[in-house]
Amino acid sequence: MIKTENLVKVYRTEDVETTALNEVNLSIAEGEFVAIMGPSGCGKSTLLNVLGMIDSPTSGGYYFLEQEVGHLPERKRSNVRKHNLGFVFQSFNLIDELTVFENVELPMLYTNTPSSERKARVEELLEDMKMMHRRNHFPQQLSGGQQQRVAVARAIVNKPKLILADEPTGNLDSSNGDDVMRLLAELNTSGTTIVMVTHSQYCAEFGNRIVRMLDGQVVTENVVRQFL
Amino acid sequence: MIRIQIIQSFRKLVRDRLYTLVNVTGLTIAMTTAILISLWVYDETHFDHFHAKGDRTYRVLTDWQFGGNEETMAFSPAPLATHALEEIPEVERMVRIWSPWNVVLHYGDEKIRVGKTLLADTAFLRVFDFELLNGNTATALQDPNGAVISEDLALRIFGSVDVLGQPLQLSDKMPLTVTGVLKNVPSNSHLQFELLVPFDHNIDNFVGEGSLTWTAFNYNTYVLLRPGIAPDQVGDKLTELMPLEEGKTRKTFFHLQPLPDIHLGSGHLSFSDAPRGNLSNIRLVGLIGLIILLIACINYINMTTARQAHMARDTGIRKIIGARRATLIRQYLLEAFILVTFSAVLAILLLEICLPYFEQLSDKHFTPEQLFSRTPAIIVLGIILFTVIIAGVQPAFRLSSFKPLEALKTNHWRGPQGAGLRKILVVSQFTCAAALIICVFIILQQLAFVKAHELGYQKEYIFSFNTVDSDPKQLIPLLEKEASIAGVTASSSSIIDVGNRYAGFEYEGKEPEADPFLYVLGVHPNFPQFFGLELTDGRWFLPREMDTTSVIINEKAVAALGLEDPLGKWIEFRNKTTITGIARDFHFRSLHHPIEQLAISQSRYLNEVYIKTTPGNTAKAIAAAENIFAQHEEHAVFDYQFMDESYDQLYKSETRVGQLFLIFSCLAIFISCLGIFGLATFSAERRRKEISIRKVLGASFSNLIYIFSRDFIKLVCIALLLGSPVAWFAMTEWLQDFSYHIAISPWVFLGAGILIISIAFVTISLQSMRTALQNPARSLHTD
Repeated sequence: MIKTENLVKVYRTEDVETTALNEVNLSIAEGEFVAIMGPSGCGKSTLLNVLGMIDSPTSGGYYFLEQEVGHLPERKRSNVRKHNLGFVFQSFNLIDELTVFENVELPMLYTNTPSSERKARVEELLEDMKMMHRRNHFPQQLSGGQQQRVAVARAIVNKPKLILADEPTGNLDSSNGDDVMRLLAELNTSGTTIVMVTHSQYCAEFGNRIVRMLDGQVVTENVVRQFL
Repeated sequence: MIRIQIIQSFRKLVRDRLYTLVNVTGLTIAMTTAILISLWVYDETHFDHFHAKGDRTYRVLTDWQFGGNEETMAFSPAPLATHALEEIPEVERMVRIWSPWNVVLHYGDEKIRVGKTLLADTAFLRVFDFELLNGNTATALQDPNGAVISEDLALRIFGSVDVLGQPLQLSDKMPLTVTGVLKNVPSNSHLQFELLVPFDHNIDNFVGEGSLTWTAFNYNTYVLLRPGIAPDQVGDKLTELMPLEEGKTRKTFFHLQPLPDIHLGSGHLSFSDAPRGNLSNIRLVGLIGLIILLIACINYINMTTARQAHMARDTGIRKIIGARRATLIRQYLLEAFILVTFSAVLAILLLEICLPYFEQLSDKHFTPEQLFSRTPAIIVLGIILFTVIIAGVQPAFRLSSFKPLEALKTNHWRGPQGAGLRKILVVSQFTCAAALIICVFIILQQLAFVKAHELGYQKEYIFSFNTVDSDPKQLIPLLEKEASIAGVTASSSSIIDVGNRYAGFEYEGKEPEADPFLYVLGVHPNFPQFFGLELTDGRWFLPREMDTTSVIINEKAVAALGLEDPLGKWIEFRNKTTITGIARDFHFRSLHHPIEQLAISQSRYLNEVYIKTTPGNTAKAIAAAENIFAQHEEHAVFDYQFMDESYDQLYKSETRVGQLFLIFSCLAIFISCLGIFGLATFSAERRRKEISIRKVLGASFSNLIYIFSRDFIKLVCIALLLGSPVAWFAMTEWLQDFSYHIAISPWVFLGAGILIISIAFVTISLQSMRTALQNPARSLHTD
């Protein structure tokens, strides 16, 4: 599903040049749950952003579903994103002015999904996430764990092939963190590919494979469980 | 999609109360101003547009030479209309109009003063579309004694508009029968009247026979041309109708002025009693309206881009989950549209409150038909659209342009992004506000100068009234007997605005090519002493003696006539007079004009009576004058005016401009300050950590206020530097309208500067003090 070839990402300011990704070669098959780990500044979030097509590589190739997408113009990347990817962030990134229902519904509006279908799908997900009773609440009225559950619901509402999660439990206590991780694991079990950046070994072990990075490079890849 | 965008926009407005309050307040005030100004501008530029045949209706203008000068006037001789109808086939109808002064109607024992009366040819109601509520347009003016009265006048006299056939008496001149009642004349008509009487058969009652000849240019003449006829061609034909003495070259020419051009295109005319519009004033006021709206738009742009850190996160999330830029642009434009439309609704409500004051200020009346018509709706929609485009487009394009990754980085927005543009916009706002306030200072100074200017005669404790049938010379001895009256005199026209001029006269010592003109004022013998005029040579009129053979001229007249030793020389106006005295120059017209040449002579035809009273006796003097007036004026109504009020009337237009500028500049400063208040709040939020660190490191309260305010004050100072030359240039031009005016003092700029900086400083300090007083530990902890 994902293949990177010598992926390089360099950030330049007036005086400093930082290589965030240094010839990263990585393959992820459909249905995998890959955890990316490493110390702060090792490039794991940059890699996730490139994989999520919200940042473009300086050089190298990025193939998603066998199509080179690393250097697509923003408009086309946006199109690929909205039909194939779902994002879960550490800080939830829900829209404050929208209710729980509306936040989950939002990606379906951008894919022009008919209203009745939207309603059914959002309600189904909110039921699954046990958030139906909070459907008319605003993000500020929810706990962190609840907000992240809504964020996960929003990420999967369009049934994406790939979910990218950036420290999804970083702002949660262990109990809520567990809930979210179990949710991601269930999604993976039902066939969704997941790439997750995390600092937590515990969270990483929910995945099939752990990719460790240092100074912009992939240093080791450990298989946690055999991916079938 | 649109539903959720609307919902989100509303929620944002409710959540960001400060943002909404600042923008809605500014936009509401600015839009109210813009709507009022647009209504006024529309009205001013659409005078006489309601006449269906207005595109082929013209007023006859006369070009002639007077005292060596080429002049144009809106008056023409009476025979022109009758000859034109007979001899020029392109002419469909002609209408002559003459307006008598001081018309009083009698109904039973009641005397009713009429605002303005027109004697008009019978075609009047067929050429012009003044709507009749009662009566027949075709026949209302056919009856020689017919009278068409306005709805207001009908209600004033009869208390009803169903009054056809009711008898009235016009002074002692003629009996009238009401043949029509018309809807009040719209304020955007250059012809204003309450009473319409047929011209034929009746004009003889008002003017002498000589006034109906080719040499008496006393009438406004209107021409309705047949469709498709060029006005130039008819103007030439009208000129040809004017008889020309053999051997003389033609010096008088007629041309046609389109009806819709009369209001704004008559500024150059020597005599025109229509209320003249002023295109420069319209442009100026329109520009100020636009500036005020732009200032409010700038607030929106600044406030929106200043809170981009929050907006950026929104943009980032949406882009990541699939929003396209066009969708986001639509979202942000929709937010602007909702805010602007909400402000427009409030502006319409505010309009309801402000309209009476605005009508008073602009001397206009907007009827409900005008206000609830298509035009104001289009104006409001136009202003909404304009504001959305100006205010909304820049933020919409900017906010939607953020890259999703950068947009989500909190630290990325800590810096002063877009600050350059915001600074430019704040400077633009305050440049306009500073220029306006400087203009106000200068206008008010000039008006004070005009009021305090030494005119060369006394005008305090003097009131005047006009006589209609009685002779002031008979009234003066009676008035002088009253203890409350300190002095009485009379003249042929008001001393503060002499309008009569003579040219083409002979005088002793005249050079063959000389053709000067003189202003002429007919007076009672005690006139110079009454007003305290000064004599430089010779003598005044002999007291109590009717001496129509003496004339006194002013110093300017000595120069204009080119006389070296003027005393004893003769001048021949109607009769031969001898110069017996030279008066020191005094102002007999407004200070817009330089003092010009004037001849003062005794006259049998006086109608302006002046009464001098003393402090504490004014009411008694007025009562005494009214009593004597009533005994001698059977058909007139006593109407007096104090001279200082009449004098102030000369500067009515400037006073109005001054008031408008004062209001507009206050609004401009208020809206600009709202903007910097909002920006200061965002800045305080952004710099909370910096202020806290400074505080921890030992910065004093005043030091923090200084640090916080200096950037804004710097911008206001730049604005003052930019606004000052603009105001100086504009006001130098404006002062040129006055022959006597102040010199613009540097203190004006300094005063305006101190005022604006103080207001801005107080505005910013409100916010900076709050920030400076905050507990630094809290800010540092939350960061």
